[in-house]
Amino acid sequence: MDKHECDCLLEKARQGDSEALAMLCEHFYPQVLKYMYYRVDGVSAEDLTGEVFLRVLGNIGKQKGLFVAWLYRIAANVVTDYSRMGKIRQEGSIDERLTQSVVNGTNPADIVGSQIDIYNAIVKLTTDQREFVTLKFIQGLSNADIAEITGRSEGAIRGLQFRALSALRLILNSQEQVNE
Amino acid sequence: MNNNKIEDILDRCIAEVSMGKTAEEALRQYPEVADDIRPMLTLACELRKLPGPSTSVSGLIRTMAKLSVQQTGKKTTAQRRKITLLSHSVLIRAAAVILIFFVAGWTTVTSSAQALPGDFLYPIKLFSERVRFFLAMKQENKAELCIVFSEERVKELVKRHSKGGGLNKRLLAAMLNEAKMALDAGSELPEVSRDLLNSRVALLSQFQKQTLEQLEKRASPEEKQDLKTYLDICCLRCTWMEQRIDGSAPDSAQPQSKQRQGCWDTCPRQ
Repeated sequence: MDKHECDCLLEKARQGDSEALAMLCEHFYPQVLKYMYYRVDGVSAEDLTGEVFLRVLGNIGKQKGLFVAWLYRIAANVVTDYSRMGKIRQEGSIDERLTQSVVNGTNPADIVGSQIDIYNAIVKLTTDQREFVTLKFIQGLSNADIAEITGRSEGAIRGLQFRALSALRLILNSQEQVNE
Repeated sequence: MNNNKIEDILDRCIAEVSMGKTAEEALRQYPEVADDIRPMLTLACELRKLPGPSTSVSGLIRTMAKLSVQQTGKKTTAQRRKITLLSHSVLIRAAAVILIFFVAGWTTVTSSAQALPGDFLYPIKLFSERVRFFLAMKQENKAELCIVFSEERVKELVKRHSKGGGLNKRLLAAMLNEAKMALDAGSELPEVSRDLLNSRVALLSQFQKQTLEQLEKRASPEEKQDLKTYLDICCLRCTWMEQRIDGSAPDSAQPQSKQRQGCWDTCPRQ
């Protein structure tokens, strides 16, 4: 789906076109699900993704600005709300499906450990760092988009990137030492 | 090395790698920080390779079903809101009607304040006076209102006469009657308040007497005949009130005294 097509669907969805909304939902569902997988544990991810789209439906008429940024802001709010309610497991373990996809993967990391280790390390990051890593490296968003989603400046995002990668490296090193 | 600079270099290297360069190619431009940045850049590359979950069809269907239910609920809520808005508009209309009646009533009563006997609004003026009298809770206030109404009758009498409306006997009788009612209303008041009221009634009687004397000068012979009766009563009342204030008149606790009957309880026929 190109940008023009997305904008057309968005305009229709804002005016209450349920078919356009369904198409948008179908298009963005995998991205939001992936985001949720790295923010929360696998079982909650699907439910929370559904919640994100329910909120999209409820507020689509008021949507302004970049849709993707708005969508991820909603997703971040959903994660925050659920973590406040204590529904998210803080010490995450590897989801079976993720394990399976990693085991079947072709290029396990040599230097910083396997992808499973990386996943477990991500879980141990602070909320801000985890959100940043998910948006930047899992979702592939630009610093400008992340700045809009999180309400920070691009300079602050660069700082957060440095701290997140440093922290992740430290966690992975300590995990490696434990394994040895 | 400045932390901000490292952050910027790391960001630039990550951007170059995402555009297709290898980590080593990106780092080659920054040899002074290459060793510091390399582990983080490698990690960033590994992060990009992390797999996403396979999209579960059942999850997508569940979400779509939820959206569908929500949308139906949204429509029902919109319909309910319409009904609520409708009932709001009914309330607003009712409030508007009440407001119109209130404003119309208030305007009529205000306009009627200047009305004279024979005018269309004069009965409304009298009615509003009766309402005010009825709503006054204290005897003191009721007595005060009677004095005000009596003064109003005197003014109406003069206005009507000056406009060529002749001498209105009904107004003359009402003028005297309101003064009597003021005195009666004050009979149960404490002594201090009663004394104050007596002074007010004495002044009122004096005002009535003077007004009638003025009217007498402009009155026709026939009117003078009628005025004489009322003027006599006013004179008697003034004398009686003076004696009462001096302490020589019988107390109002003896309302049936002959003197009082003579000037207060005898009211000419209207």
